[in-house]
Amino acid sequence: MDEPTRKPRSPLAELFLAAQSAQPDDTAAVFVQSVPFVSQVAVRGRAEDTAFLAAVREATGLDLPLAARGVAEVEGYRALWLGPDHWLVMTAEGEGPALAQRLGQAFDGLFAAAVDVSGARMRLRLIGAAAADVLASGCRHDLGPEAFGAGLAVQTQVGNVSAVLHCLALDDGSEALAYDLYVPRSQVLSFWRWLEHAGRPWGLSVRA
Amino acid sequence: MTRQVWRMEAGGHGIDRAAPRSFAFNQFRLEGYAGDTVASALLANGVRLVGRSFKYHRPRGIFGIGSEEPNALLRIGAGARAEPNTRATVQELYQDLTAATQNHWPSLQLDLGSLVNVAGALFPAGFYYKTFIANPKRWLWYEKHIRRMAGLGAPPSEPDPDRYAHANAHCDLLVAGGGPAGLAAALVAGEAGARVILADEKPALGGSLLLAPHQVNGLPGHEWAAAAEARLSAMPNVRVLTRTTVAGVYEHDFFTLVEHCTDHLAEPDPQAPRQRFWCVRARDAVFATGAIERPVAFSNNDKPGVMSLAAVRGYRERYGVLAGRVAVLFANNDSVYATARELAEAGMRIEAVVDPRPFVSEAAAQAKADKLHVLTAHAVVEARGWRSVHGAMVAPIDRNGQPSSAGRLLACDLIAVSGGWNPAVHLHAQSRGSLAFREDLAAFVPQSAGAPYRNAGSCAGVYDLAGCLQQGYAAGAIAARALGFEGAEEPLAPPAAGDPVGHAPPLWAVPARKGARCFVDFQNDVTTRDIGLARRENYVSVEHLKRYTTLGMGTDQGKTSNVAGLALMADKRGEPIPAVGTTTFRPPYTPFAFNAMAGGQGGEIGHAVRRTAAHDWHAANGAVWTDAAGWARPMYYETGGRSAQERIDEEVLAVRHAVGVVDVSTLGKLDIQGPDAAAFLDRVYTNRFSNLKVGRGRYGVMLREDGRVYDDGVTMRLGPNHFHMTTTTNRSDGVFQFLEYLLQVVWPDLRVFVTPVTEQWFAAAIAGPNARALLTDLAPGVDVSNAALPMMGMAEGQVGGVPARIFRLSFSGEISYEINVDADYGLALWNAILTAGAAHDLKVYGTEAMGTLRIEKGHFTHAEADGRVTLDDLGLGMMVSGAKDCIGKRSLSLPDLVAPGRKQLVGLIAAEGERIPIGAQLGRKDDLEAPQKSQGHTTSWAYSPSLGRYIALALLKDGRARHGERLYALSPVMAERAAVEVVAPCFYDPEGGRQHG
Repeated sequence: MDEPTRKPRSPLAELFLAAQSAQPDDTAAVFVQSVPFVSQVAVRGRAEDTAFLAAVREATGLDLPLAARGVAEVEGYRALWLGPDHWLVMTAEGEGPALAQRLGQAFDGLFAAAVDVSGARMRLRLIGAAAADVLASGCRHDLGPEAFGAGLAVQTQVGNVSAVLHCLALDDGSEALAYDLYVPRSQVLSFWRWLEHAGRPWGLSVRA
Repeated sequence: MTRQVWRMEAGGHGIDRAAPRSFAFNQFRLEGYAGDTVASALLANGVRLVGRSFKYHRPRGIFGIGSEEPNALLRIGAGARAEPNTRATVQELYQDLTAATQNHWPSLQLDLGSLVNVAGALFPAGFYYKTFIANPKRWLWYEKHIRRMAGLGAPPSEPDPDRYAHANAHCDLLVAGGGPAGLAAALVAGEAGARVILADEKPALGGSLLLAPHQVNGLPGHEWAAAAEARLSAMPNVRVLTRTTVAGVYEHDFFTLVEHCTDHLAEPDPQAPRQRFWCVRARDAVFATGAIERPVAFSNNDKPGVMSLAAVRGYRERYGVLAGRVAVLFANNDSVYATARELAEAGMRIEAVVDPRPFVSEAAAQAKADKLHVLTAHAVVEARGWRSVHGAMVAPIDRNGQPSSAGRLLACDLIAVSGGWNPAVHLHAQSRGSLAFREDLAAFVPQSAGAPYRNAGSCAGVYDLAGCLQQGYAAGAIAARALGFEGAEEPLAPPAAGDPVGHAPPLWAVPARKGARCFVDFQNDVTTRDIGLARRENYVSVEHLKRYTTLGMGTDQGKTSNVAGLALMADKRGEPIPAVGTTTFRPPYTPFAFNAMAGGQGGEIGHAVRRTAAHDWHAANGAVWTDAAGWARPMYYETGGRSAQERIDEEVLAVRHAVGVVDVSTLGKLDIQGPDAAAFLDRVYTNRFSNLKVGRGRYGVMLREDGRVYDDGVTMRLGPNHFHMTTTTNRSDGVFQFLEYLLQVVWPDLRVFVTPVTEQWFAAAIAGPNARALLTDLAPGVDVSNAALPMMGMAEGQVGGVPARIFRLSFSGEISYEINVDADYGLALWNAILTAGAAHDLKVYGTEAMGTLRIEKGHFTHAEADGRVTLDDLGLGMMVSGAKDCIGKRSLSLPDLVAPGRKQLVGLIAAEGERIPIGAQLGRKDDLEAPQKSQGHTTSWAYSPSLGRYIALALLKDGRARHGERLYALSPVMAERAAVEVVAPCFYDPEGGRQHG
């Protein structure tokens, strides 16, 4: 299929533009970063099916994480464990359909599937000292540093949505943790409003 | 401004004398200090009378010093922020606080409602039941008067302007209560490395250490507590939550806490929540919730000036306030002697210490030697005074507590009472721990065997300070070790000096004097006599006693009264107290704002709205919204001056005569892949999908296991093992769960993956005679001819510059294409369609027009398939394949599903000019009044601009055989009716030629 000739649009586009033009609030203890249009492919297959795992490795270099909440990363790809037969594989913007097609071909003859879901979830990143506190105000998963550190991802309720929550260490030399949230596209504006509500006691600001 | 006449010259470690705080109490302007509670500030100003009682409107004062307070309920704040029924003993003072008394008219001093008190004999327990059971209709008249007379404060009528928040936390050990035992437990577990949450309802930790001049390790108790708090706060693994009550204990180690974040502030940060509702998962818990001093019931014991002894002691110690000038102290335990000395030293005149015990304890003997006026084997039998205490009648009592004389009057303005303590077993009891009655304490204590959590300190019946500390250390250490923190060791308790309680045989009540009342439950005006009445009327179970007399109800839930009430019932039944038992302890421990539980998450913040990619366009173009399974969908689009019906008609006619576009992104979409995908669909749908050609679609219906219609939609075959299923908007989640259940539980052998892709695809349907011409313009690279893209066919290609899947199917009965694109490009596609549509008379339409179009075509939705109907009822029985099995098929032969007389789908056309009522029943007689047998009911309703009539779909008994019959659509509720003709359920183009053209 041909490349689109039109521009994609995030439901948060205007919000981020407006927030970025406003004076940044340096006193905020938590910041939201927009990371629009990350390509996502739902990869389905059986964890015990070595041919399936090999096909994913062949196509992307990824060793799919087999443990619950696992995350795997190689250059250009990241895989989050969503279930015993379900992963979310991410790659560069605009590459979703091509990756799904490539994986689909690699799965030929196997019981496995790859579905482009690039438009299904929007990604937001939370950083700052209070990021975990803001999330914990709407998340029953244990987000304490002992229980949920960098390199783990979980599909859980956060505020008013069911989200995929990925904890990662920033590669900016700081010790700080960041949280990537993958939120259902149709609910992302409502989630944003929840985030504003939840972040208010700590001060929540938007960063480019 | 009045002087704080009862404030001592010095003392009171809880207040800051350098920080005066002025506040309003009714019409008076008073002053207190930072650190005061409203109660301590009122007492400092000599204020006695702070309210009128619930039922008898008797004058009431401050009784206690903490959250157990039954009496001193005030309305704090003004306007929308006013909080009724706030305990003055808990509310911290801030500058310009306004406090107002409740439940009186016209004023606190002169309350006409107190006439009920005079006529009290006419208002016994159960008064309402007895009075109104004979003629319930009278209740309607009386109710509004009774509601005004009875009850507590009124809430504000405005919406709550405050913010509220939720918090979730996990820890190894939750410690409830920051007194000596709780501090000790938290210190040990925290130092061992456990994640600890320590919560205390007060602003400072210390509990009982703050309310008496105890010593720990050579330090004043409050200083030791402050040092312990500082140590805990410095531990990264410990979270100290002050002003936070552990409100509830639930299954699976789940606890709820309520943090009062700004209730103590004059000018709260507008960004801060007022209260925060914590949901805590703790692997273990130590309850160190202390004990609550209990009163003794004697005549007129509810007068302002009758107070809890420990409270009087605490007001002196913590706030530097003497609660009276001349006191009679009345207690069945030795704590009274230390208290008497402290009060006397502070300048209070101790008129007498009245000790009902028939022996002279060591402490009593010492007090006598110290020239204190001690009356052993005596009791206060009556408080004298009206709006406050003027004296105490004191009489000798015999071994059964019976006064042996009328007694003599001791002039005093304060009667401080202690009947012993009740361990605060609430959290333990909520956790389904059982209680044991300890005769030596005359109190229920937690039974540790089988209890899910631990109790330490006075809530476990340990009343001496050293014992509390030691038990706290032990509980913390044992819990930590059990949780895997093996280094946890209990230190030896530091030397601690509290004061002994001594042997304290219970004294629940002193017999009432003639014409006087002895109150057991102050808040609910329950007297010893009411308990006797309940017994005589056979409400002998404590649960019945509670409901009959209201003992233990209200905002305090009987913290000071429950045990006395059931002890008195036990006495009247002639049974031991444990045989009577306790009422059930339920959360919350203390009241809090409902809004805290909601977390301030009203509207969209609490329940996410789902928006399609074209939402903003709809909003900017007059969409009138409806909610469809959480999605915001345009019902129709408003334009200047036209009525809703006019707009809907225009939208419908555009589809019939030109072309319309509707946003159908909300339909459920499932990607189904795997070698067994076709076989799986054959089992799920009533009709066959395994013989469907690749690139073609088919309409399918799935049943529930009971044979009723569950959902329907078109499924496209994208490849030999790959399908794209659509579901209704309402059932998209339900169908996905149903299919996952089938694959995981019923047929785990089938190799199929179902992946929800509703969010991935934006979909717009263009429908109408001009639809193909429009699509040709939009997708020049795609062959959209009838031959290449017939009904139920599909194509892939660029539409409006966006890669798309085009499905040709029709809900409206016109030529129609459903264009699906990645939702990121949804708005781009939508705009492209509108731009290209201008040349084809395109109009945008909403769900109302869509509904009219489908009703005209007789397509069913969940309005018809309401969970009771079968495919045969809908006239689609032929869709059940005879050649294969499917979910629900076997149920179709159930006798009831094949019996004659079932309701069947029909169409109704209203008579010229008549309008079919919404939700109408169908009758043979045109009569809204007289009963008649319903023949069926309407399910969907519309005005058909094509027919110029109102039409409806209906489920009618034996409907298929009744076409042509004249019936009446009747709505007795709306008082509307219409004459209707029964027709086949398809009103427009029944041959279906238009959609295939």
